[in-house]
Amino acid sequence: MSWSREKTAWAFVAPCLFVLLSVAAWPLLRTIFLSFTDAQLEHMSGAKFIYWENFKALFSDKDWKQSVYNTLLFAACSVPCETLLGLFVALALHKPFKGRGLLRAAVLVPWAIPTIVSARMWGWMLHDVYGILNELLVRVGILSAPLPWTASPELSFWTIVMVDVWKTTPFMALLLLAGLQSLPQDCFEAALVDGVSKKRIFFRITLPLLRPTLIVTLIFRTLEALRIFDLVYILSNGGPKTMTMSVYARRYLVDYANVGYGSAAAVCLSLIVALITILYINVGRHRILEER
Amino acid sequence: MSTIALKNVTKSFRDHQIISGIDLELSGNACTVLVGPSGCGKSTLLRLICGLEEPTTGEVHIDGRCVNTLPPVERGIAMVFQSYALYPHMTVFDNMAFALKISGCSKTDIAQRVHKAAKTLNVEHLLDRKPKELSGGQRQRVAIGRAIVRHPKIFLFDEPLSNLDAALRVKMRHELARLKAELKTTMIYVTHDQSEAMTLADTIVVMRDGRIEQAGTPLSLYHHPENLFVAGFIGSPTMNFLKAIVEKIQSQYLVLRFDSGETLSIPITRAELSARKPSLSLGETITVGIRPEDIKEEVSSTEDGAIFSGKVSLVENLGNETHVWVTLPGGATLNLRQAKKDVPHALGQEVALLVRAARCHIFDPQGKAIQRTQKEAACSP
Amino acid sequence: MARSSPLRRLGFGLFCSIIVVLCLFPFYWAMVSSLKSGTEIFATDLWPKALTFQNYGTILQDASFGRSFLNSTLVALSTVGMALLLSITASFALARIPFRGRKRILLAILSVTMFPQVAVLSGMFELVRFFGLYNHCSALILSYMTITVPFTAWTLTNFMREIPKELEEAAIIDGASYLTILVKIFLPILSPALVTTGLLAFIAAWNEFLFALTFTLTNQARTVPVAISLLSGASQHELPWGNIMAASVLVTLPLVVLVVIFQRRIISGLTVGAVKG
Repeated sequence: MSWSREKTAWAFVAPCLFVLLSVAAWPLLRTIFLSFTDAQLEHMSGAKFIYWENFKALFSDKDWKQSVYNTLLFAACSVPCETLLGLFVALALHKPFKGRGLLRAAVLVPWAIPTIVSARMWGWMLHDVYGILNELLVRVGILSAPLPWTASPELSFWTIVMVDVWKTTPFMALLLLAGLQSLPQDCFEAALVDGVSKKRIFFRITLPLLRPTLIVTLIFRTLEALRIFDLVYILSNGGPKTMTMSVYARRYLVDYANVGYGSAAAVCLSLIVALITILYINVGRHRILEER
Repeated sequence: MSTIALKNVTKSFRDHQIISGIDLELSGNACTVLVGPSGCGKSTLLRLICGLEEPTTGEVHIDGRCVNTLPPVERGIAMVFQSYALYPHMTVFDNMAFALKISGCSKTDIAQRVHKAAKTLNVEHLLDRKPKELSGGQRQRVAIGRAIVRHPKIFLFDEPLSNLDAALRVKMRHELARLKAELKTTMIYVTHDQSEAMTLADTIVVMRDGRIEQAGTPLSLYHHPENLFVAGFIGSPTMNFLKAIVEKIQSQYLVLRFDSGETLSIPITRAELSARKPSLSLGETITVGIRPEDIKEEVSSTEDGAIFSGKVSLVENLGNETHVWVTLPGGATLNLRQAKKDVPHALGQEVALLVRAARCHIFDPQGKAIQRTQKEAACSP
Repeated sequence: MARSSPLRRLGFGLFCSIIVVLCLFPFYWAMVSSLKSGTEIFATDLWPKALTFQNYGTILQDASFGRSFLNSTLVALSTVGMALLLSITASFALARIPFRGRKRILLAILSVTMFPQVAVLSGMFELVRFFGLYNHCSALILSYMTITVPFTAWTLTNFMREIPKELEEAAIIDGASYLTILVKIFLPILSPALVTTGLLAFIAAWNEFLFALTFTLTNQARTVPVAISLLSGASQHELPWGNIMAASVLVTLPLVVLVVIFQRRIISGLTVGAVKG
């Protein structure tokens, strides 16, 4: 019986597995292979094996270093910001009230809008001459003169962070809110009956119970932040100050048709992502073990 | 009518052994109840019989044939689950007809069988409803109906009543008893509730830690428990246990001395005493068991026994009877049953109690019962 | 619960309103801008002086935009259909049938969802060219499998795990095969979950940009996000903002409607994958 069960299981999994192997594993392996060649977009088959040449060139490129720095900085700024803001909003909304469904729908809109579209919308709102944000801020008196949000290389990096925070915070808040709602209510009731202060309840009960959810959402968000592409592609003028690893890799791969070199950049990005994932998982697990 | 035989069956999940070497044979139209504390392996045993689990070693036989590798449906069994496991998206009719449809019965045949089962169970008017529109008791009936329509050789029940409230549980228990008489098939019933076991079973199998502690009729288990565990598990309120030291071994009596100083001579023959190997020696500590109803307050009685005095520490009035807990000077407690007509006790009141020698159970230091014929005579007062 | 003071309730209401405004304002502004005519768009009035649908007219008359809208719909729907079809059986096996290698497959699926898309870009390019799909919608359907299949398989697996084991066992005792259990018991019970998962996959496919930008070349094969990103005027600094905003509203509207209708379901779908990870 167990033999036929295994057979059925594999038959059920096989189509999905086949597709995943051919559209995920195989291209990934090919990318790794191509990163060691001098493949060009127009004649990939005639590629020569050039060992570590691409990687050597990559590591000596100032722009690559800058884009690694930019990506890491972007993740380090946006993710904690989104998590903290999201947690704050989630805690505030963690009670039943009228119009909750409406709020939830409103909060989902920034997440559901295609990134390209939200980049375009913000690009328009942040236009240095006609943008409404400049106009409003100047009129209120926060700014003395309009800011070139997207045109200035220095500023546009922070603009990208801001738009990402706008797009993702509501979504984080909803995930954390769902996490909060799934926590056992009797713990909180018991604490309230015992007269524990709200601050203590948060730090001693809510936060530890929410930790698994927090860690998982944090991992997902960080990995997403590390591969950011769409926002940067639209909102920046493509200068090195805002370039991220994904943009860099794609630019060499497609625009400069240097598949070998672009693949090398993509492989490096994957390695960084994998490294950070492992780091996160180890830290998370370590904490969980401590608790037991 | 079917026979089920388990031959040296064991079951392990990873390194954890749930069932450790069980031999059991069940036959006839009997209802066998597997009972024991949670985690004793009774549900696993049921799942081994129905084929949801495969034994790690040993063989399961149904009607003389080894069914280890046979899928559940070919074993001729039906099962009722604790959570009912009704298909939530199907009507009651479809729930009951599902197995028949799979087996390829004709439509008229299905309708006929479902209606007949529904009639037996009084759920005919519910056939078009979905499970979520039913009450707990109705769901339970439908779950049983789903088992009945297939005309199985063997019925398995996995704690079917434990999700119901107390009143409904008693009602459904009666209905199961009626059904048992009507269906005349082999039934195996798992429960942790010993009163369900006592009322429904032809045979009770008491399990603990993956082993069978004792198997027998309900009354034989009640009157002749083979060990301390069964003695304590069967019967409510539970049997009282007192430690005692063997003081004298005489030809017809065993004289015991309790911690608090009382002595008790228990009638027992030499042959019965020597049935236990190695034979009991002087100074050994054994356990005396006495059921609450076998403790009397008539101190003036001429009956043989030991008289204990103590203070009433807890009184539970049930209306038809009263349970009284008496704390002895040594710290041990005795629990006795007072009939309604007796004068109720007050907390702290001094009472003298007679533990009737004829009705005592004795257990050796390892917890095994030393059976006596004299006790049997006392069983039916 | 004690009734909170009116002041607190007012504060809470204000807090909620701020959140709603922050979330919706860009969308509102895009809508307002798209309804303004000619030069009025450069004024920052919160409501157009004269409503005009001129921008929408331009966008809708543009054959290439209509084409890309059609492409987006086609690609997203086929992607969802195929991803669900592939994941239903797989997730049933992964969630309910014990077999060797199950944990490893799940881990592999999870790691694919975490991988950066760029990492498969050159390999995928090769694959697309090998099948002769370059600048063709099917190239997008093929490449979107990379994103959607791991996601749908993972989410459905988690949904399937929530179904009580007894239900499956009751069906086994009733004589049902695994396929019957899946089709007759699990799928009907899981139909809301299927809608949720499909919806999330749809949004992912509808919004995808990197593959769409890379594997298409002409208006014939482009999807809406790419079309919007490429909308430009005579020069870099004279973007047709009115048209862009009109197109943005058009492409977002279906999503907003879906989100409003299915908000509860969407959240359940997102958390089933995330919280249990």
